[in-house]
Amino acid sequence: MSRSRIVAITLASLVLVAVVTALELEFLGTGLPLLGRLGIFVFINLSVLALLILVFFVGRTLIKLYLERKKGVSGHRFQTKLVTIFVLLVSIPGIVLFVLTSRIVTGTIERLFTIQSQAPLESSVEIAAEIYEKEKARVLKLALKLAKQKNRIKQAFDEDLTVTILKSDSYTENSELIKNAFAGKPDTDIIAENKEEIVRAAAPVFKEDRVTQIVVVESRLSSALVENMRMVRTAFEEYKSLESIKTPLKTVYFLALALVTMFVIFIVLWTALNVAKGITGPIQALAEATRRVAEGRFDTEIPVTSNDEIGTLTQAFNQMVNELKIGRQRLKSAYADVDSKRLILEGIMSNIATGVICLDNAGNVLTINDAACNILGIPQQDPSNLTSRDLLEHIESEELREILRNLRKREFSGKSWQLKATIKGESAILRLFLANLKDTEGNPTGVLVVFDDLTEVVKAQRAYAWQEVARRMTHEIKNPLTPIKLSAERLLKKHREGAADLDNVIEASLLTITNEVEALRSMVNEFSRFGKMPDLKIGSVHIREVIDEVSNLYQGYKDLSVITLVENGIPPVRIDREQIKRALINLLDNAVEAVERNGKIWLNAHYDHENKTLRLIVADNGSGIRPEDRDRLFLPHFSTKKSGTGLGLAIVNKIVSDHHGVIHVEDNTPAGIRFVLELPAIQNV
Amino acid sequence: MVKSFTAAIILLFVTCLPVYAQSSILLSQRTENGEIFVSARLHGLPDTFIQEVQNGIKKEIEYNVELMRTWKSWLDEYVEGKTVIRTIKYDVIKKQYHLTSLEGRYIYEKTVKNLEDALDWLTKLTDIRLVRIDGLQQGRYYVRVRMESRRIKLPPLFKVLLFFVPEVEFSSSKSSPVFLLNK
Repeated sequence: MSRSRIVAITLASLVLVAVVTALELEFLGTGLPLLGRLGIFVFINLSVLALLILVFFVGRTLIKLYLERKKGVSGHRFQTKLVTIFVLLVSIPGIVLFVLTSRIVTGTIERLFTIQSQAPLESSVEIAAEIYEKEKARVLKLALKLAKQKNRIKQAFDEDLTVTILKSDSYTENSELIKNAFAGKPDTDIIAENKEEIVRAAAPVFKEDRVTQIVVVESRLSSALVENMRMVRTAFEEYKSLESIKTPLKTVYFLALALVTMFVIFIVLWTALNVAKGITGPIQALAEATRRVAEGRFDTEIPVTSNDEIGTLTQAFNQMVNELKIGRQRLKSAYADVDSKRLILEGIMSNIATGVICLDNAGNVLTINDAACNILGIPQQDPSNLTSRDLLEHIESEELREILRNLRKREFSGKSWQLKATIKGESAILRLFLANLKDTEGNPTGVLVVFDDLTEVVKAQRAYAWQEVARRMTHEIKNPLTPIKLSAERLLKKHREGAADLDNVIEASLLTITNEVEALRSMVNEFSRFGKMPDLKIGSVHIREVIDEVSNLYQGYKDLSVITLVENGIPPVRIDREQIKRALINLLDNAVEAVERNGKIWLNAHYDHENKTLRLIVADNGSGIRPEDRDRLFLPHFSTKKSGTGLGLAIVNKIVSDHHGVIHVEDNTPAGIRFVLELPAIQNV
Repeated sequence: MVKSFTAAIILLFVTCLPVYAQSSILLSQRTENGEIFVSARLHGLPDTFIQEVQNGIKKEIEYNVELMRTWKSWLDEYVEGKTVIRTIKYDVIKKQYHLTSLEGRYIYEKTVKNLEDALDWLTKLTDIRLVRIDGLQQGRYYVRVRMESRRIKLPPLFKVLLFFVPEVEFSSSKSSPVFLLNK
């Protein structure tokens, strides 16, 4: 509560107290003793203050409830209902009780002052008065009698009364009774003496029409009788006093009842409001906190004020918000991490020369990098406008179409192809890698397409290959030229010398020249054969037959065993039987040369039913190959043998490529190497 | 309930209002031997008052006889005053009225049997010696008589409960015409 508010309330209270004090003093009057007035004053002030404070708090709470209801604050309905129920529960019996009690009280007060009620008192008073009247009459009668008789005193003592004769010149008492008697008027009165009372009568004694004496007769009433008379009188007077304030008395009871009823109702109302607030307060706090959390303010915490279910709920809420806060921080951190990685990835994707495209299941482009756009010759744009159909419009390639047709028919997981295509009217060689994208549950989500433009690489490789061919050709040509030149020079020298062994020299030299020329011719023929590979003759072939034929060729070798393993159930495949056979023979020739004693060569055939691919493996336990030679292994005229032409593996590679297959070399365990040929089972050449 | 409460408050106020309208004071003054004597008589005692007297309830009437000086531009000034308190108490058994009068330091008592005599004595002030003229300054004066009737006694508990019931049952006031005092 603010300071100014406290000051205002204090001032208002003081003014109120002053007004109430003034009113009370006006009501109290000045007749009451100071202590009584003070007590009443304090009592009234405390009561009024208590009532006003109660009214203030109840009023404030009700106004707050009304405002909350108007604003639609959560919980106001429950509070209103609870307060209404409480008030009804208390008000109805309270008002009924008030009416009944006030009727009973006022009825009781009315009955208290009915004629029937006051009759006994009045009768008592009349009886008492009658006693006095009779005693008065008795003493007066005696006084009059004595006033007329001569022997007055004796007779008076006989009657147990006190008789006094007063002369007109000797009396000292100045009472009305004495005055009246001397005035010639008999009279009576009653005087008090200690706790007793004396009934007196005075009668004049006339002598010659003059009052010379008066006779005073006194009758003493006992103290017990006087006390009884006093009690009767007091009771009657108090009764009459009460009767005179009958209406204010009823009002007091009525007001007291009304005040008590109001107190009870206000207290119940206040209690109801507090109870309702006690219940809805935490719920409101929870709702408010939930709203703040929904707005993203995770620093929200509700103080736990109780150990009941609401407290447990509040604790659980705080814990939940805390965990949300931690989770959000982690999420932010993870998002930042992912975003950072995404930026790195985007940087990589933007800067690499490899084209990368992500497609969803519907063929819509999710991601396409700059390199992909450059390779495909399309402007860099928002990938959301692109589909796989749009991309294919930029590529003319039968091989690609064949690949895509086959892909639609089967599942695939990570396959690569090298294919020729025409992009924007220019020939290009692409290496294509396709992979299925799957979510964590294995459901397909799209396709990853990675491709490289190998045109320049292939050109460079070709150039390099031709350079190598030229170098090897030069070398191979030079090798026979030297002995030819030496033989010719020796022959010329012997001829000039006229040597005796000229014939032998001629024969030996010519033989050498002939052999070297033959070697040259053989090399040219081989090269010519490589350059003129026959067209493929695709047919349905049982690969087991081809394997058997090839393996049979090597059965007679000493210290060599050729082991074949052909998987059962391989269906006929569409290949060129002779070309594949030639490729296998080339590979086995190399293997035979590579192995030494106890050499073993394995020739295996497997069929990948999923990808519909025939896999042929030629392995040996020879000396293997150096890693740096692997990349050049399939280049023309690359050979690790002194006598080789270096065209064998190049021819194998050519045959496999013509079948749209791939060949790769890998280490054999525990020794040697293995060539793996993967050929599509269905060819459409 | 609010209506009932309001009605109770109104009833309370109506009940407690002093009865001003019924009673009046006849006032006379005379100057004799350099002194001002005031006589007054109260008329129109309420019936309830008389009834309560006859029921044995002790009553008290306080008379304040005051000499006031008037000023043109200031409040009237109290100059001198006398207070006379008369009580009446009827003995319902003895059938007699016990009267007392407190005038300064003196108490006068009287017992009468007749109501008229008692009321006459209760309501009449005769030649109250107010002030000597010698001690007064020259100016404009008037005599004022205020009276208040008080209920003497309520039972103790009810006295607390009925704090709002005024002890003053009725009151009245009367002022004489202004007279000029020249020395």
